[in-house]
Amino acid sequence: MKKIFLLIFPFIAVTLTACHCRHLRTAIDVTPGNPKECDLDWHYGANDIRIQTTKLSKTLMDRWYTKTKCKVDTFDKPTIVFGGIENRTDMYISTDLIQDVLEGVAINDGRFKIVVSHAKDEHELDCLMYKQQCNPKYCNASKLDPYSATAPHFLAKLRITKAKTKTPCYDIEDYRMTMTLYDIESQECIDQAFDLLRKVVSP
Amino acid sequence: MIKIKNASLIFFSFLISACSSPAKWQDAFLSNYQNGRITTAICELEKIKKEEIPYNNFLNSKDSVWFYLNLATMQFAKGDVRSASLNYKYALEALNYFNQASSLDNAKELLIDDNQGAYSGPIWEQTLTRLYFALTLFKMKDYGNARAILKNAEEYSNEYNYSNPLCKYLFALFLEKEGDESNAEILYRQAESCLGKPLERSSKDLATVLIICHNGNAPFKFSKHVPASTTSLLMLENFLAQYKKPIALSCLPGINVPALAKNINSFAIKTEASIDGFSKSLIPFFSIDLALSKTLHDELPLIEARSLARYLIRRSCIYAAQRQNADFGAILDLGCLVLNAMTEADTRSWCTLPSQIDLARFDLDEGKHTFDLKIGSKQLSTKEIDVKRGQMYVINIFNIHPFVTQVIL
Repeated sequence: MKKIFLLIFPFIAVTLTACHCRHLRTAIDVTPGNPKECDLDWHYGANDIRIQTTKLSKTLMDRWYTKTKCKVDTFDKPTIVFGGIENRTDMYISTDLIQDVLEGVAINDGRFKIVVSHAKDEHELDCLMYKQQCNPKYCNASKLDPYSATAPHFLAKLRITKAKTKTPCYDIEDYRMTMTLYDIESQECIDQAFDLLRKVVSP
Repeated sequence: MIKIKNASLIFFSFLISACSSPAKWQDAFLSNYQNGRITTAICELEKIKKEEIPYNNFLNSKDSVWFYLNLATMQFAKGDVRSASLNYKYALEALNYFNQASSLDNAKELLIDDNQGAYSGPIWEQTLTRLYFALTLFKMKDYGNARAILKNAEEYSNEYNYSNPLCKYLFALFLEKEGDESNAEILYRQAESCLGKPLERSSKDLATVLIICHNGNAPFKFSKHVPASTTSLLMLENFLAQYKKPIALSCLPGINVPALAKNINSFAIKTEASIDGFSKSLIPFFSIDLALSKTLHDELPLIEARSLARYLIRRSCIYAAQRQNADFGAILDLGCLVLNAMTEADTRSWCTLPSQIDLARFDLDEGKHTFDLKIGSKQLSTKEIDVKRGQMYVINIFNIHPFVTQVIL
């Protein structure tokens, strides 16, 4: 009897502990075309922002440089002024985190500069806009005309939205990041690109 | 035989050492907070938190959520909104982890006591966590993230078929100010059906000032002995004695269950706000007293059943030991007597919540306005507020004690 109990007890203990155990949630990037990254956090974080902003900035800059035929070495780089980051998901995303990631992406790309303002304060944004407009380099058409753009300043808006599909085994979360470039003076929309990131999140 | 005895003694010493209770932590800060000594209360809790959760790694402690929520609310009441929002953020991360079911925790709760399981709080408390986080973000002018957290609260409560009228109303106001009137209207109607009274709609052209009063203090839990349990267990021993089974004295302590108590100064106080002389009484939007009572009432059968099962497991071990050796059975019985006396109910709760949350709304033209507050019969000093067209402003009032009111403009 004792032997049977000693044999069965470890088995029961292992089964009980294996039934339901807590684990740290992770996510996998399953976006078609993206390399599979298994170290993503379950919530929208620095890695996700880095993946999406790298692709978006590359798309926008590639388009701009192709249309304007400018070369990076011969003139100053275009500046993108981020006036607002709209979080339309259901998760807290630190705006300081987005700013750090954007600056890192700009440095790695090397073809543009970034200025991020905390547009919570309208007065601060007005001062920033006035400073940019008074910049002697700003006297150009920031519209995409061939061979005529010189060191433009774009006003940019970043919007992040989320859609979620729940299944019994995991959640599929789609994050759509849209970057829109505006003419800094007329606020007219110049160009827009979006990126969809699909993650499979463990429950 | 000696090896089994030694193993049992080691096992019991482990069980006795595991019988710790966060009730002593609660005593350290709660009375200070409810008597208006907020800074002292925060210092006390931070000292304990530093020992239990070093480096803010919530995995170190199953009571992480309890620490973060109580600390965050006290910091919010003091006006330290930045620290409060950080602690609410940690609380949400910890909740995400500890909400997962754990068989090991269930087994520990059954064998040792109810405090062995991780604290995560009922659904209404987790919704309020998100609401308070959103309020702190709003105070820090992080409107985007505040909106995201309110949306998260709405989705979370939909998932569990729960409705919090305050979350819905706040989110509806946000959406209305953005121009999303159709979704705002749906949320307004849902909030109205929860409250049972009509609610005013806002206007895009006017500034909206929302006055949220965190009124009074919620009841706290304490461990209460159930006299009927001792009687029932004695009757069980009497029944067993008729079949010539040896009696166990470990039934004497009985079982303990959680009960609610409230500080005499913790009642909600009638609050009136007036802007430019136009006065409005704040109406109760959510009663935490009622929610706590209902939750305890619903959970009590399970708590009692688990306590009884725990007692029966220990009693079976005593019986098995008595069958082998009378002396060993007596030692085990004594050990279980001490164990049962030390086994307390789970008294962890978000004890820094208010008794109820009251709300009033004013729609104003752009410009400067005077704001007055009347708590009971006491008139507080007039303050000036400057509002802009189409914006939303939230004023948080904490009525912690009849003589202590914090106003976070």
